[in-house]
Amino acid sequence: MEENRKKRDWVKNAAIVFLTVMLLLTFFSNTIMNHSLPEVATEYITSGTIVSKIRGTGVVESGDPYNVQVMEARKVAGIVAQVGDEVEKDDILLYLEDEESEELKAALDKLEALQDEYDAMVVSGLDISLVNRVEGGNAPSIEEYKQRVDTAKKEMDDALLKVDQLEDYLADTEDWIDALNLQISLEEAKSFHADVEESALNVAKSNLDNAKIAKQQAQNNYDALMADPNATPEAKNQAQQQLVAASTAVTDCEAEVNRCQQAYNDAVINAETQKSEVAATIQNLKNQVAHNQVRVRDIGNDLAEHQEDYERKQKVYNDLVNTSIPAEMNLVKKLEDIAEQKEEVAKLRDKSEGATITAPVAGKIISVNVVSGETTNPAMPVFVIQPEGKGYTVSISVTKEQATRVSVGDPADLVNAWWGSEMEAVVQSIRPDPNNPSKNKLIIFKITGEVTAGQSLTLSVGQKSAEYSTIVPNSAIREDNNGKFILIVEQKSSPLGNRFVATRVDVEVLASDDTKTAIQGGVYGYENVITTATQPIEAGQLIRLPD
Amino acid sequence: MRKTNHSAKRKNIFRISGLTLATIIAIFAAVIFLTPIVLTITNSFMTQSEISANYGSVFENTGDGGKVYISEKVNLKFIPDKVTLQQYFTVLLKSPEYLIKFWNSVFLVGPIVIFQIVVATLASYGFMRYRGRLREIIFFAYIILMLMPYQVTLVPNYLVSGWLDILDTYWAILLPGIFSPFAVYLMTKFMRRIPTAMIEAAQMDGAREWQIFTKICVPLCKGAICSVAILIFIDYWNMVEQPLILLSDPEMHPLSVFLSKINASEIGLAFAVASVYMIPSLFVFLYGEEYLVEGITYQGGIKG
Repeated sequence: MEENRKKRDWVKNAAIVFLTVMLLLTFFSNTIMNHSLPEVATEYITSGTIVSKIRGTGVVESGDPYNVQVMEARKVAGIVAQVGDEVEKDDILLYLEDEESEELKAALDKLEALQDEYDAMVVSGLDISLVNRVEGGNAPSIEEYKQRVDTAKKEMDDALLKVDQLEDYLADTEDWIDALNLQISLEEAKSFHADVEESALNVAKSNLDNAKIAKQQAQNNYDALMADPNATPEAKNQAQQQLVAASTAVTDCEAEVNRCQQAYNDAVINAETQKSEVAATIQNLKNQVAHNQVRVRDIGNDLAEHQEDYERKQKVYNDLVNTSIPAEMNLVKKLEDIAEQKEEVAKLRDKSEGATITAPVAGKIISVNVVSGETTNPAMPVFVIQPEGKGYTVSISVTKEQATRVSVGDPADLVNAWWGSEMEAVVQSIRPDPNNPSKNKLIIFKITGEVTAGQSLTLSVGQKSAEYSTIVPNSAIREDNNGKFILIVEQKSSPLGNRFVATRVDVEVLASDDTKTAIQGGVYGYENVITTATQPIEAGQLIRLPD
Repeated sequence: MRKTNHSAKRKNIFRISGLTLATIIAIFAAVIFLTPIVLTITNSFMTQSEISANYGSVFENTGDGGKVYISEKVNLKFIPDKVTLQQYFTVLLKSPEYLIKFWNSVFLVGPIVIFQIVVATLASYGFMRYRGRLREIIFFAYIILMLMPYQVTLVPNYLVSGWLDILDTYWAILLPGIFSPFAVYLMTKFMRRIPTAMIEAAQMDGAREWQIFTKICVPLCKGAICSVAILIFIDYWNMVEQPLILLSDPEMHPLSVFLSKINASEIGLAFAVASVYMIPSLFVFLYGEEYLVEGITYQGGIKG
């Protein structure tokens, strides 16, 4: 009992401690939690006016600059005009050194090289009459070359055809000789003999011998019975009949032997006759073989001759196609190249600049790209002149949505321009931005007044404004994959404390300027919007407001 | 003589064998029942990264927003790689909502236990003292109600709560809990065991009904009251359906509802919360264990 009481006391004390700890933790839980919650700054939704101005900064560029170029590489002796100078038409801008240009020198060098190559070809072994013809302007035409090539080819093809024919003829003759030899073998393999008749004769003779023996036996039997007084008449008759039969058999066998003998004799005679016929046939075939072998020898000789002829003509054709004609054509081409190069040299001589470069138009020098002692670059202008009355422009890249708020002709204001107060800017054109044509547009402003190319200007344009009932700071607008939204503060009060929760509201942006944005969506106009926070926050997250 | 010794020996062997087998089975069952609890407590001391590595993709979201429970790479570890109180810090210091849910549970269960005992003892005294056909009918109705699972009476409870305009308030849970028939039935059974002679003796001594109730019946039923209180506490400490259906504001839900909504990102916290959640039940049981046993093995008070 005492133990139970102590145990109950212990459990009671432990439960009290546990509940006390839980109570303390709960009491301080909000304090601890609030220190870990992000602090946010808020503003109430207001109503007002949005002036949707567009701002941007750009570099002043010349309206329509004139590039002065030197079309050959010449060394600069001295520069007369500098950046910012106002020049009139034909005013001297710079002096050039009086020597041949680099291009002319290069052309002369190339002409000399071509001439050397031509001379080398002439002395390399070409036909002198051909050289004279080419130099005299009578070079063979392409059609002539083609005709020569075609003729050589035809002769070569004909020779080849003849060779093929002879080869076929030779092969056929050899095949015929083989066939004759085969036939000779078959004839020689034939044999003639009368074995069958001979064996038949032997069998007949054997039968005759047996029949004679049987007759003798029958005779002896008959004689015995006749001499026997006890023999019955039947036995005697039977013996007599047997004797008669045996005699008849002997007679038949003798006839058979005679017949077989006759057949055998006939067969022997027949075999001899056939043997002699086959021998004659074989001899005839051998004669044919000998005749065709002679023919093969003759064909072989013809074939060799025609083969040599074909090879000769083939060599002529290859030589013509690969060596002679290309060499002749190269010679012609080389002469033509030399003529062209001479013309080029003449042109360059005609085009060569004088000792001075003058201004082609009146205006202001805005760029000088060369210094004394340097060699000019034909691809690069040496001077850039801003003609009088052409003007300056500034380009600003804006979004397509911003571009819709601006029209051509809208005046623009200079921002922070404490200089150039006489400057004026007007929207000249709006076109797609070449750097980002799908999303941006380029607004080009025409600048007049005291301005210099290369100067940086900040402009603002757009004067449309409207009244909106729900306006929030720009920092309150957030965006994700589902679109734009704002986070508002929702307060939940309970006996255990106040809670603030960031709640998402999807909105649509109607207009915005540099600081404010007009929205429409699930807001009533009195919500407290979260603008900034000490930590990144998401919808549904607990937050705390500043003290 | 020898036969007697032999049979006694055999009986002894049977007894020891039976005892050994029963012990083995009991140990096996104890291990099975204790494993989840030990796992919960030990895992509550693991870091979040270790828990994620152990349990991997236990829960996975399906494409249409639902959840599919799969078991993949689950590694039941009893010993943490690194013991840390990080989960407890998060639960007890950085998450006031869990503490508030704990007190929600306390504020719900406390009154239910207390008032249910009061109602049950009074009702059971009435059932014990007054006999008659009407009493039998009412008691039979109590039994029928007690046998019905809560899900059956859920809709009527919801409708009545709506009529009484107590939906989304704690009264929707407290009132049905206070007047639950289970405690009445148990207490009635215990009360009926009190010998009638004692009550009659008290009546003859001039005691009134209230005195009989408070001086005789209640003291004799102390064990039963503790048993019933423990059972009621455990039953309502773990309730989930009633708060889910009758309280729409999640901030009013007790801790048992949170534990029913475990998701993959809060497994570590769930272990810590479950460990803290077990403590009050443990205290209640340890405090009333003696009475629970006494209540189960009731001995009469009549001597002689």
